[in-house]
Amino acid sequence: MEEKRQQQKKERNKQIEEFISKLPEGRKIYYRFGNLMVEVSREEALELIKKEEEK
Amino acid sequence: MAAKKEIKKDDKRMAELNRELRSYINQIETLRVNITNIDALISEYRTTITTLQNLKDLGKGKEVLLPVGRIAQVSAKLEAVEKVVVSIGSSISVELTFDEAVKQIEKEISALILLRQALEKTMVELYGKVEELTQKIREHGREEATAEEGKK
Repeated sequence: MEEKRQQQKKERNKQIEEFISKLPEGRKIYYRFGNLMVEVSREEALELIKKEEEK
Repeated sequence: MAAKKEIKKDDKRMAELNRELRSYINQIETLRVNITNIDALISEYRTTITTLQNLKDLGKGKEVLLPVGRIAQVSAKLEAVEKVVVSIGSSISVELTFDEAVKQIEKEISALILLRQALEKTMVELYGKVEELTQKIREHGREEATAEEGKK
């Protein structure tokens, strides 16, 4: 069950990575830290997704 | 002695069937809760699209009230709703044009509808299994009663 959830999470994150990669230049990206939405670069966002996946 | 063993075996079988039945009922309950949550989410997303559309139609300069917690609001002036920040999951939100945002939310709604259909299908299958098991339990009970009658 947990394995399946991890697999689904990986697939979802892959879709998000693709979505971010396809975004036109200049579009703002935000990452939510608790109640705060922090503007991040595309690279930072991709890195944060990876980190979140490893948790 | 042999009859006692037979009864014990029957009790065990009955307990197994009941356990299985409870498990299916629990799964149905979980699915029902999930479906209710999905329905709430779909409704919320549809409201979001309507709200975005209304804000766009009202146009720049309109006074709106921004909620500050549940109890208070402060007024603010509306800017043109050309860009919308939409959450795409994993704590990431992106700035999209109005049309892209609506399309993205509609895509999420479609995915939720598909998920709801899959859960509903599973629930129907589980109801079938419950029906089947209930029948088995009834038959088992009847057989036990007949056997008891025979012993008397």
